[in-house]
Amino acid sequence: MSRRQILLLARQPAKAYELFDEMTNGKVYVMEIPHKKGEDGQALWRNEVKRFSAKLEEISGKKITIDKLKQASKVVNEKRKALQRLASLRSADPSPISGLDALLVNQVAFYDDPLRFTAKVNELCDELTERIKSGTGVSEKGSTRILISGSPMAIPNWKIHAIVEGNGATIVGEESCVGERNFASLLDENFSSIAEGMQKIAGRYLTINCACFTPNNDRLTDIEIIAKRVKADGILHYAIQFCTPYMIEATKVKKVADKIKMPFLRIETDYSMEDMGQLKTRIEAFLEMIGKGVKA
Amino acid sequence: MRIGGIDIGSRYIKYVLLEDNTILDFQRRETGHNPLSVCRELLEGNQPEKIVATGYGRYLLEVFGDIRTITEIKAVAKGAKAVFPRCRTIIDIGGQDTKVISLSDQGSVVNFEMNDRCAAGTGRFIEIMSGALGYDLDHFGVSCNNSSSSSSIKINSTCTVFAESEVISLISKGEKREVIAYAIHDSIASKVISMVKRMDIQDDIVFAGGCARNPCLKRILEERLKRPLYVHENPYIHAAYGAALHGE
Repeated sequence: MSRRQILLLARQPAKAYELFDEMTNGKVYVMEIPHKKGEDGQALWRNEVKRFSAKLEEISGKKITIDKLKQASKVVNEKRKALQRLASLRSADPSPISGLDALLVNQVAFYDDPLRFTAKVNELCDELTERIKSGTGVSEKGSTRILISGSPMAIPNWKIHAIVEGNGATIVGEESCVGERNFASLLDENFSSIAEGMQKIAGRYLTINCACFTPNNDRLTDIEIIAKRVKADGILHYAIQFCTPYMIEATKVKKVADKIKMPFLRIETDYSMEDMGQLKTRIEAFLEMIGKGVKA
Repeated sequence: MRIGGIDIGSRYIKYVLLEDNTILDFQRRETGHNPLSVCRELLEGNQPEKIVATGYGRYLLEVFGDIRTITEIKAVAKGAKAVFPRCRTIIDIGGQDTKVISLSDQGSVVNFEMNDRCAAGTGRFIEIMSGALGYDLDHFGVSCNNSSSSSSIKINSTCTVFAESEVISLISKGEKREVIAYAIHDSIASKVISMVKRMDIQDDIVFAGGCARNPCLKRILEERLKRPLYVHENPYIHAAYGAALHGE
């Protein structure tokens, strides 16, 4: 498939896609995502996935076969497993990898050739395993560990990680679509027809606990589990401007943080740098509040 | 040991010189365009053995060597707790930030809210609005302190630029300036109250920062919160004092 021929965009600001479509001379393909995961939503999404597979066949001039579908499913699952492995290694104290580097790996996951990417991430994980064995980390044992929760951070969005880690704390996980939500669930590879495979592919998407769905209470359970797994000292909720579902869900995440007695900070920002001063103050004050020591 | 606490804010630099828990000196100067030279002047001939910097420009003093920094949130908390030992909540309206801070009964910060990027509802907003209405800043809050919320006008915009346009259109409609002034204070109070509502606040509440000198703002906040606010005779002092205490 030529990347120049198609842009797949399946998120909230659908109106913008009409303009993008004009700007790219009709190269935008829009998929409608359901807001609820019930029977109707599932049917809608199954049909969208089916239509999209036909579109892919049309553009590429190739036919999807059961063998190829099974093979591709395995390739992508292996990629997810490598990312899961990376995520679990970040639970070590001290973390063997900075949050900024791990974020970059998660960002690249969307662009890179999956076979190459999986091999490289596994190589990285081997190295990180060695680092953990020798007690080597990016910070001292016992330093502050932060879980990011909220909107995805696409390249070149490294703003929050840079501030948090510039102050001596370490980001140990991203409960985000560029992060946990991208790799948490695997595709069930056990299917015997293309139709069944497509159904499972569509179904896997609906296991993702993204704030674009309502209700989305499973996300709250996920946050609790992840915070515990990565041994977080605090949750930093991040919402990017125009990602309103996350801005609103922050209120519910705060309640979870209160319940598990975890310090919580809510940030709303965008890609610009104009609020760096205020963000630095808020994030530093948050780290001071956690009280495990901040690099002065 | 003499310890200097310096709070480099967006509008003013505040300096406290502390020795054995006693404040020997307090200074306040406009930050201006060259805060570093202002800091040098403040420290000249008065060089303490240790300096702790806080506020928006806390990293500026790095040129003096190894200077400790803390955020103004922690600094204000320490300073307010030292002055008002029963303090559990701080409302601090500074030049470009508004903060609401919750303290544990031991005085450590347990939660805080701070405005985002813009100076909506902060000291700078008051300065510009008092200018638009032709008031001297010190008299702005006094001018409308007898007005009440029964007034029919409301400033809807908290964006400084838009609110100024709103004020200008009210002036051109012939509204009395005391009434507009009250509406401005009311809109700032609403902004603060919305931050307070996101938190579980407890008494005593200390009102800090330059805006705490504004009697009308204090009164509206007290009415809306249905609780008294405690204001130090020098509400500018808390962060600089807290920074100095942190150096001990």
